Amino acid sequence: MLKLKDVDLAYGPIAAVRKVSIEVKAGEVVAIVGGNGAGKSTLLKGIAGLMPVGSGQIIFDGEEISRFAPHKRVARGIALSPEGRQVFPDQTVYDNLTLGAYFRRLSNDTLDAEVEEQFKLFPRLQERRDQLAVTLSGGEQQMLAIARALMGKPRLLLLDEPSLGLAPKIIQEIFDIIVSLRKSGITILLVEQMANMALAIADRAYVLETGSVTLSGTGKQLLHDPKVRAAYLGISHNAA
Amino acid sequence: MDVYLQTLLSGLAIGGVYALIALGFSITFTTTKTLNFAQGEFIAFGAFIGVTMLLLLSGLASTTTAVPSEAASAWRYPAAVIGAGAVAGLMGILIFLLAVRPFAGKGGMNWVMSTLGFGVMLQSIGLAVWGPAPVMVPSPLGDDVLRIAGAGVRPQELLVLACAILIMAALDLVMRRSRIGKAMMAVAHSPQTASLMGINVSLVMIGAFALSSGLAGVAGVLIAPIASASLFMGMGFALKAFSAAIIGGLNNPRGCIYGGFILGVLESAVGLWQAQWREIVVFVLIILVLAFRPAGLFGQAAVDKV
Repeated sequence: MLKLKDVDLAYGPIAAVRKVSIEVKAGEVVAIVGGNGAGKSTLLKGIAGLMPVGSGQIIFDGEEISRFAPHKRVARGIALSPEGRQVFPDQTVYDNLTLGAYFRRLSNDTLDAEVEEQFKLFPRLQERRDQLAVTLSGGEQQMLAIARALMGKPRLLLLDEPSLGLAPKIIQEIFDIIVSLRKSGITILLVEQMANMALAIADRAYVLETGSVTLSGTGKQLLHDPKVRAAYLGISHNAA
Repeated sequence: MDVYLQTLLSGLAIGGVYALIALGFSITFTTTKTLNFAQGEFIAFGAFIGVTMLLLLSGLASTTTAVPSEAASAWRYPAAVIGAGAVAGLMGILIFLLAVRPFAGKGGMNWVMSTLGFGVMLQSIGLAVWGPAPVMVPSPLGDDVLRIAGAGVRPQELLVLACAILIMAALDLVMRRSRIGKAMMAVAHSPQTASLMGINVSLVMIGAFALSSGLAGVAGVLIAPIASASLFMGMGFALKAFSAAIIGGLNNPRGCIYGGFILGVLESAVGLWQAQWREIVVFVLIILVLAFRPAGLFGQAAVDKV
């Protein structure tokens, strides 16, 4: 479904992602784990079109999209729930959700029905329907960001650090939702610092270090890989 | 008493024009973080496009120093208002593509110089086409002074006020209620995040410049029967409108509208007392607002958690 071939991404002269090649197949949950500043978020921005691709190719459903503007990639079926939520603070929960479906030009009735569908998945948002997004808690904003991305009916959902700054109980809630999304058949590319949780639900995963892929395998393989355990799970070789 | 009512209505009329132009400043500032510093020339161009349309539509020669009153009668004046708005809107698209987009979002203030330069070019082109002489423009409602509760009011002032309120109310409704309005709010908050919603951000920005410039063009035709059309008329109006936007808060469209009316009434009221103090009072007010409310009187304060 999604293929990156030797993709380079840079902030001006500073390279953030070097020669990254990854693949996401339809129906998979793929995780990208790695430390701070490894280039994980940059990689998702590159896929969504928020960063220009320096060199290499991004191919989605057989079509090269490396030079497409972000709104065209959204129209192809790629939605990003960005790092730090980025909900529209001065608009209501309902309006935030409808913006997620902006490009689909739905009738008001269909739009309402689809918003209701998201409320089934995220009941907390229903209670906050007419509140401004700025008044939501961090966890609720994260749910809103994911629901808003889903309103675009994407075939590929990019999730950037959904656990960032949230309490463990809320993180568990968010991950339960990701698992249920996978069951509904949506393909997910998940970027996470909480490597243990991401690897536990991922079919496959890549480890990104200073902008390059250093390891890849199934979620289980990486979860038990001594190097990964030492570097990202805080478990040393000997203790295990 | 009647003289106060007269002052108030005149102030509201001129304030309505300031408000239209100030709203235009706010529209481009919120969506693109840039301002069209050629706005003054767009006002003057609007007035002259209106004049030209009035003359052409009534089959008269295209250069003159006074438009005869029958040329502005019936449907011709509304047609000139709409035509000037449309042409100014197209010019707004041009200025965005040529003078703003190459520099927008890249930091720096290049767009200040490039829009100013665009304005200077426009003025030169205008002088070549229409000449430097001001043109008297008749009001479609005639020039007989109306008596309202003893106060003498020029009908054009009421027309200006009514048009300004109508246009701004319609825009406010669109901004707050329609999908495109919410998309504009999204772009204003963050163009990047808006693009993730599948919103074509460049198109919204082009639309913002077209709308903002169109408002300036409309303002030009509305004010021409009061101030007469001149290629040098724009600077003063644009500066006052910009002041109104600063008073009301550049990032708040409604605030800019209130700012326009406040400035118009204040100016008119001070003029009643001492005409030569008008400008001084206006700019003292701006300095006070900037000192005590840097975000403007109606600038967006942080929303509290409920």
